[in-house]
Amino acid sequence: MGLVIVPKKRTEKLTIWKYFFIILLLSSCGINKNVPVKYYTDNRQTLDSIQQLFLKISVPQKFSIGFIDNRFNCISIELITDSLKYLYNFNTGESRITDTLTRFHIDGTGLLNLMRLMKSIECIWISNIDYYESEKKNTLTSFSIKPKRSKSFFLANRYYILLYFPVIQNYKKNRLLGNNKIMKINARVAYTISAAFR
Amino acid sequence: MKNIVWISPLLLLLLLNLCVTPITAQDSTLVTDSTPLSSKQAALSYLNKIKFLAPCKEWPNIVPRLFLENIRLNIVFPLKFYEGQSTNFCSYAALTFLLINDNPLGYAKLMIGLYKNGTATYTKTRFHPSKAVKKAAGTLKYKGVLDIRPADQMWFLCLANHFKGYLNVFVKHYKPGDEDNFWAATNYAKFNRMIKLLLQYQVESAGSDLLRPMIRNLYTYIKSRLDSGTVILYVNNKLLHRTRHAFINLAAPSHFIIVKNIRENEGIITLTYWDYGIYSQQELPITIFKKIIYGVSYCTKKKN
Repeated sequence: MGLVIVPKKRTEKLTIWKYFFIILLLSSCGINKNVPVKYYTDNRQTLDSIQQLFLKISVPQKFSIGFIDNRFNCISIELITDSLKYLYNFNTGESRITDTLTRFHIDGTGLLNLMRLMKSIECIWISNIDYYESEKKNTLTSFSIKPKRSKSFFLANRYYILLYFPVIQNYKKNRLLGNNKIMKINARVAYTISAAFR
Repeated sequence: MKNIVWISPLLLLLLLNLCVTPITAQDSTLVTDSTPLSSKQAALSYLNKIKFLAPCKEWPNIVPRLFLENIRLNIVFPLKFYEGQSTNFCSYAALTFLLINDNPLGYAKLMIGLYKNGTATYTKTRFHPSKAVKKAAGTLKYKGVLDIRPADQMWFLCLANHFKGYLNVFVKHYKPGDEDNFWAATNYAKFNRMIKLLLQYQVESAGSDLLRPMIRNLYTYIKSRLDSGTVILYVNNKLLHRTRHAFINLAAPSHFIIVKNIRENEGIITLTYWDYGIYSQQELPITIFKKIIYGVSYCTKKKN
């Protein structure tokens, strides 16, 4: 066995390939910022219908709802009354869900329709968030989406949050939701990337 | 190897912390005093005497009118005390919830003193917030109702600035946005220390940041202590609000809740607790209940 001398040109080529693979690997670890914009464009009508339906059903009883598993079978609901917040988890089709909805005067048919629409576009959580501008209270609707690629280890806990503002927004200022930067989709819709979906 | 060199001091601090926090729980005499140190009326009449609060150079972004309204609201409705969305202020909120309920007059005097002078002393703790903290108070945004509560912002930032634990070793000085990260984080030993120092309570603690408390029947233990004192739980928030989206859920506690009531029926625990300015009621299977709890702090007043 003698010493193998690799020609200089070949080592240079190897280095270029190494860099190429490193860049490829790093880019696959990052989160794609075009996904929420594309998601919004593709599902705009459904998202609008979900928001309208959610605003309508949550008038008599404020609540947040979503799916807590990847197969969209397990529902979690947060019901907020004046004195107490109730947190329930159900499997779809469980009879307990009807009793709970009746107790809190929530339109059952509307809620099932809402869940069906959410499942169709793989939206995992919907809620209303209060925010304040010049001491005035406003409420926005937030939709959480789990990116498909986030099944990878690196992106295990990253969610896209679509935000429907009630009024036209000024994005000139650097705006944050929690510690996450809000990015513009259009005048009233924005998105952010967060570690928490609710 | 370099990483190990960097991480080893942190591991050492963690181990030290484990040694400081007692893991075993002993039975205590369950006869305690729960009489508040002052009344709401006394605190409100003290606030009513303050007709006008001038803008203070120490706190350039605090609106005096909102500041006074905020303190008054906290005294009348301590239940609505809110730590803000996605902040690391939950431990400070739990602590302050107890403080306002126990000594509303003391709380009001402390807040007014802190606003007027830029420094204040409560029990034996002297608060001397940094310039960055004073500048940030009143500017926090998109934290829910905390946005319009400058007194709470000021108080949370002061507490985070004053009390330090091993989680705060690498981020000691405040920068905007630090309220959501390690600068404001609280480990279990730091929390118990804050309760002892600020409220002068006697704390019987079981658990740690990494290991769950070694208590045979956790439900009975918590239930038995609720009648005679306050029970605060250090919980894994990701399991408390269960999700099955991620491959791996880090088994680490990150949230403090104050227990209001607990009951058991056929293996299901119904837990009523205070956090985020409201009581929440949740049904948890007993296996999950055992998994989420990393610390149980039973707080009673010291017998002088």
